[in-house]
Amino acid sequence: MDSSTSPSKARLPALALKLLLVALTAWLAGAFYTVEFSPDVLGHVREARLKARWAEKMSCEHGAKTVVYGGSSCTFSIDGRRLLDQFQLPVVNYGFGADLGALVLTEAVLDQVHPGDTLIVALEPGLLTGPLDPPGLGIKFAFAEQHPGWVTHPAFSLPAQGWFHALAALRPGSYHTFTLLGKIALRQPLMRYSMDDFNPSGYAQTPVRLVIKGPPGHGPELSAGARMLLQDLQVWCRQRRVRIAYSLPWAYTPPAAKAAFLKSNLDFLRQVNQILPVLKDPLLGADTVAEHYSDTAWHLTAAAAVLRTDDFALQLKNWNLWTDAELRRVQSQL
Amino acid sequence: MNFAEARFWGLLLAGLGIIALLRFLLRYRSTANNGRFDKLALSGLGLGLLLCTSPATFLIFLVVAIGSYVGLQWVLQQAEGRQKHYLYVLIPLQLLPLLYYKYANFAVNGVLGLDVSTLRNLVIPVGVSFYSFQKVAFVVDTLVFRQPLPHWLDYMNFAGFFPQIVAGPIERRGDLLPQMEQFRFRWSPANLNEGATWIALGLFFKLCLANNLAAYFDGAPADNAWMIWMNNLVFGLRIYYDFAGYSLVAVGLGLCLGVRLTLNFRSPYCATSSMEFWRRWHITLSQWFRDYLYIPLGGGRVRWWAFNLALVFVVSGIWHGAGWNFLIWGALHGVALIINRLLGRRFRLPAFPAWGLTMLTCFCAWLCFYETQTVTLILKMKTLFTPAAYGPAAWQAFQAKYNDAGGFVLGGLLALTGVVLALEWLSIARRDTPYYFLRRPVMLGLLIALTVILAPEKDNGFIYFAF
Repeated sequence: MDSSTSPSKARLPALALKLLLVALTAWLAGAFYTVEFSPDVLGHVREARLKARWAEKMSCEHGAKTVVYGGSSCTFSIDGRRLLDQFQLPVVNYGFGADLGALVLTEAVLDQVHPGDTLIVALEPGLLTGPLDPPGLGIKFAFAEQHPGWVTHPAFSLPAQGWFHALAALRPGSYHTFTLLGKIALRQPLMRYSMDDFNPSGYAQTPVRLVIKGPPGHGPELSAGARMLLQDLQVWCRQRRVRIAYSLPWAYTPPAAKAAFLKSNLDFLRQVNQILPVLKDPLLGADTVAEHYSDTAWHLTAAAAVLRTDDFALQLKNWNLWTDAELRRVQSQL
Repeated sequence: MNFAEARFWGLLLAGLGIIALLRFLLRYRSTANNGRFDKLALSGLGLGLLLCTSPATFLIFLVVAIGSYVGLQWVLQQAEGRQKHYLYVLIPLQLLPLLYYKYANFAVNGVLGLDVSTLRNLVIPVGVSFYSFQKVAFVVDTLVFRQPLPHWLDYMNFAGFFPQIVAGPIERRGDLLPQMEQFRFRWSPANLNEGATWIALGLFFKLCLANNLAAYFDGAPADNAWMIWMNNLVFGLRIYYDFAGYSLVAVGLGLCLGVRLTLNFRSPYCATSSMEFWRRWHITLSQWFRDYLYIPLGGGRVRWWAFNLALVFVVSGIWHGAGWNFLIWGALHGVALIINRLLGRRFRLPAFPAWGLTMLTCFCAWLCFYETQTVTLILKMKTLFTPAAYGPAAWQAFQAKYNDAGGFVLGGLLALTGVVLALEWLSIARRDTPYYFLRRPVMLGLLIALTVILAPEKDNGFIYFAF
């Protein structure tokens, strides 16, 4: 060890202060990069601009519109252009990556919803059965969208993130840094999805095809935070004369796992149905056709998205909803 | 007292701020009343931080600390010739909370096969293994070296000095108590500078290396040798940087307060023999076992030295956790040391193969440390020594597992760790001063930047808090 007793006339610990300054500078640089240049955050920001433009267009041209939001299962399944052209339904697909978290996804959509609109919650069950603390990417997206209040002062009665925690999340992290460096070194595309994959309504498709494993599991019960979120969202909608319902996304389910997955989905839907009406999709989220999925068990191919979009249009037009008795009956038949 | 949490630093700064304010309001001079205010303030700060960490461990700490002091006071009042005999009563009493919380479930349900469900849910109070051993050493040193009983306030500061209370270093009376007797809060830029270098390095080890590596440690399948080795490697690196990180921050915090704590790690992965490894890994625990178990048993100068060595390492294994796996881990190291001692005199390997052999032994043994299911442990151990488990199918499965974005990250982390280990080796080889090159100002600036940029959002806690 160095001697600490060496005589020194310095009154300030210069080295310690310099090290603190380095830490602060590194954080500032990391935060600036994260909010301004990070490809994953930037991708979501561009996506948000595209979707906001379509929402504005729908509001201007058609008045009341439907906004459907959720994780990427939403982005890859609901085609707003088709809904408008084939069914004359003005619909905005406001789905983003599930890695933004349920809270940020919900906060982000509120700006696009106006009195008289319809809001369809299509969050994946996993987002509503786990903790609702916003993940790092959600916090970064909130700051990049210049809405830090989404996480520090949410519109819902959920525990807010402290400013320190929120600011501390504005760093690239090892996963981002090393994958970025690796992809640059191997000359691979930085992101799997690009803006070319999106159509103006916010719906996306990808040419990537991977072996799909499913079904994606979720917890047995709505988390306390999710319950609070859905209840507050319903109140928010009622106060603004916004119609609201939940729509369960489709997920790839191998035939052998179908019964168990249906059962867990029914359990989940019955809990949601106590808070929000649920659109009556007879598939109940369990789709056994592997060819319907592109690169994950949530991402529908273009052909399958047509099926999902058309079903969704009919449910929306007829405002066809499950009752608890119907859900219970289906459950008993399993 | 999790140094990796912002809450700890907030509480510490708040505590120090309150002390500074009180000193100002009371117009306190450090020479007044033999520094009583500073000592009381340090004691209050330590106990307050411990209470915020865990009320349960706070209470148990008080029981062990006060019980040891009062017990020792009573023993010292007895006739001199009989004092040492009372150690046979006092030491088990000191160890009682440790034995109950840490070993009751294993002994009653695991070894005896009884089914006492209340014991299954026992939570080990943070730091009980560390402060219990410190108090035992204090009692033994006081009686054996005929030392006087210190003032209760100095004793409380010795027993509860917050940087070392929950995960060591296990400081001894001779090293820490005199510093506590002279303790004053002093503004010393030199100490703050030196302390900051250790804190910065410790946080880099913990937040950047250990916490990131933790994400890549998962249960490898029992039939794939490549994956088991990767898990051993990741775990071995993680536990080192986790525990060394904590220990270095403790040293730094101590220095900021003008107190020198023992450096608990001295680049153990640079060791070229098992013996050297244990002189560099968790040094204060090794010294504790040497002084209070190995030497009393006769040490290395008796014919049964191999038995002594094996026993010490089996007990050391059990100290780390109540489970057969820890016992096997300790025994493996014991055997390695015995072989090292027997063959080391006859054969001298060149440095690089000796280092390779030492690391192979060490990382192989980590399997016994993390795999708590005995059946799985045996299966995995067999796999490591089965040539077929290294076949093309296993290699393909291994490649497939890491052939994605996670592979980039793990590769990057291992490369970064490799650079850090090389600098550790250089520090030993060129300067004979552990972590010398990592503590140079420019290097520290780089490490701090890396910590800020690369540290994951998720904190994994310190592994040794569980022991």
